[in-house]
Amino acid sequence: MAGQALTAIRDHFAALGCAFPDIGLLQPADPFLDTAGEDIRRRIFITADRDGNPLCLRPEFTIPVCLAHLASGAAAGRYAYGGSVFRQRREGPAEFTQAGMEVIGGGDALTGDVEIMEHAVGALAAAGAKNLSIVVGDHTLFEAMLDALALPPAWRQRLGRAFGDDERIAADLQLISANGAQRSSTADMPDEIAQALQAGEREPVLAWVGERMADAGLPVSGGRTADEICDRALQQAELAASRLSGEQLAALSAFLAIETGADELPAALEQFQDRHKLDLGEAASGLLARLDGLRGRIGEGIAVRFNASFGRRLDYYTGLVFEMFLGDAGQPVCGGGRYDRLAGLLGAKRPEPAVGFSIWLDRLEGGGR
Amino acid sequence: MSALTLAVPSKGRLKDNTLEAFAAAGLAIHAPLDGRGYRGTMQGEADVEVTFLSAGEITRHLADGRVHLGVTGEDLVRENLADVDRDVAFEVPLGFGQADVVVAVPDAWIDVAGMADLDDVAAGFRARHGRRLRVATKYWALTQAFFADHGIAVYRIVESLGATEGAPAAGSADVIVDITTTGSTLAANHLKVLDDGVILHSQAQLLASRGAMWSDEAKRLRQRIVAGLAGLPASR
Repeated sequence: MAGQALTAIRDHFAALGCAFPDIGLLQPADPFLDTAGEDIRRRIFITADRDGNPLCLRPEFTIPVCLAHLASGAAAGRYAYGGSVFRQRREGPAEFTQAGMEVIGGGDALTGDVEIMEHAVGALAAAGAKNLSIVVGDHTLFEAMLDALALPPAWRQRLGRAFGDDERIAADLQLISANGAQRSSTADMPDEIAQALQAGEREPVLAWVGERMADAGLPVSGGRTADEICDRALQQAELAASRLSGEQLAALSAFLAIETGADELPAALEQFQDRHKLDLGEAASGLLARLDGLRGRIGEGIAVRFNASFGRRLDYYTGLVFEMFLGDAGQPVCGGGRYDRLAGLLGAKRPEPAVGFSIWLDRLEGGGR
Repeated sequence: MSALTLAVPSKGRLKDNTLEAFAAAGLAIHAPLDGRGYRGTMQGEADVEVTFLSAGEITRHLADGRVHLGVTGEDLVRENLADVDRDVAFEVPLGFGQADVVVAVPDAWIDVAGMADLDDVAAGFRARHGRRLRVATKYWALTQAFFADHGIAVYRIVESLGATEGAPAAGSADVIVDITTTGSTLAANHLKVLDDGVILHSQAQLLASRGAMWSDEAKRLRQRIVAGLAGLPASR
């Protein structure tokens, strides 16, 4: 069954003119560990070659496809893949079948976003999936929301990183509502340095940090510098005196609670912006244009919802993200989105905008459960 | 054929303290006089076989069910077993071998007091320095789980097999996760423990294997040993 569905999807991708890069089962592990972070080590199968270089069983296709694109030197490419991926889990099989598509380099982002969702729907239909629904989220809109609130950069970055994880967002909002920053460790600091820090006097603090680094024999390059430590200490001292206001907190909470059908979204966004006197500007109009474009391509039969708190907690996702379901519940049978920052993390010298999706073929058979 | 196998550490202070604790509990362990010293006996309990192993091996033997009871450091158990509660039961904390597994950063990092600060620093590290924040440790699993609990994913572990506290000065890592008893080694290396950076308060533990074959006699001996050690002042 999975074999037939995979063949049907591959035929669909071939008809779209996709290239199929050769992606081996055994992959160098460093690109995955560097981009997704050390935490992924617990969820992949790692081994090493004779020289001790870490290798892993292919945990997904997006990163190797992106690397293949960069190695090819092509300005732009439309790629597809299908095959086994391996993930460690407490229970259940560790091998899954995935198929997907990545469009990397160049192109207009709005058109690219609409087209990739259209192709995901097309591929799922080719595999026989019925009764699809789509949930859309948008990193760009959340960033615009943080811009509109004019939050200090430190808070902005913290919330940006937590986006997509409701618990972390809630914890961070509580932290910056109650206490603008973590405590700096003034405990083991001479009084005059602690006072300089509170007063925002940079020179004495910088000199003192420099001395401590020298005492500890820390390398002067390659790691955190005295300037960087001093800047952040001063920033934290300033933040400690500020609080997220009641209005800001209310606006952020109301924003994250926006969860509505795509057809109702224009009214919902307008109402939200009016009520909280905020302007989400081009991010809002861009999102609405994408959803409008999608409706034009896939017709009325597929339910599309927008969820303002839906995002992916990987720092290379940058814009629209989406998941597709059989019916309106269960595990997603497809996940995708825009990841303009990935190529840069993998060492690209020029910007490489990218968007793509993966289909979990095993879940198609299980009815998405 | 003995009814119960007990594994105890084969060297160092952990061995000395273990033998003292069993003797104080009236369960003195005698090493045979053949000079090899891999096997021993327990006074008054002929059905107990004592086997001397390294602290790390004891963890593995308990998980595999090759010994019934064992004494080893909690840090080794939590680091090396993916599913601790499936494999072993913690029977008696023994009150020695106490040490904390901690996250420590250079004390020059005056802007970093807790894990949330470290999260901020790790997030911006790649953009500033062209590489991920490096953590030197021998505790891979404990570090990964603790950092994940604090929402920190973007860092790299650098394996350290000794003198971890020297890694920041050597330039091989930015921060460390290490075990410390008094904190004096960390302080001497200009490192400070984060406010919420204690991953584990470790000490020597008597553990029971869940996978071993437990005969009625083995269960009786387990109760006898647990009761004896639990009655010691240090275990309360």
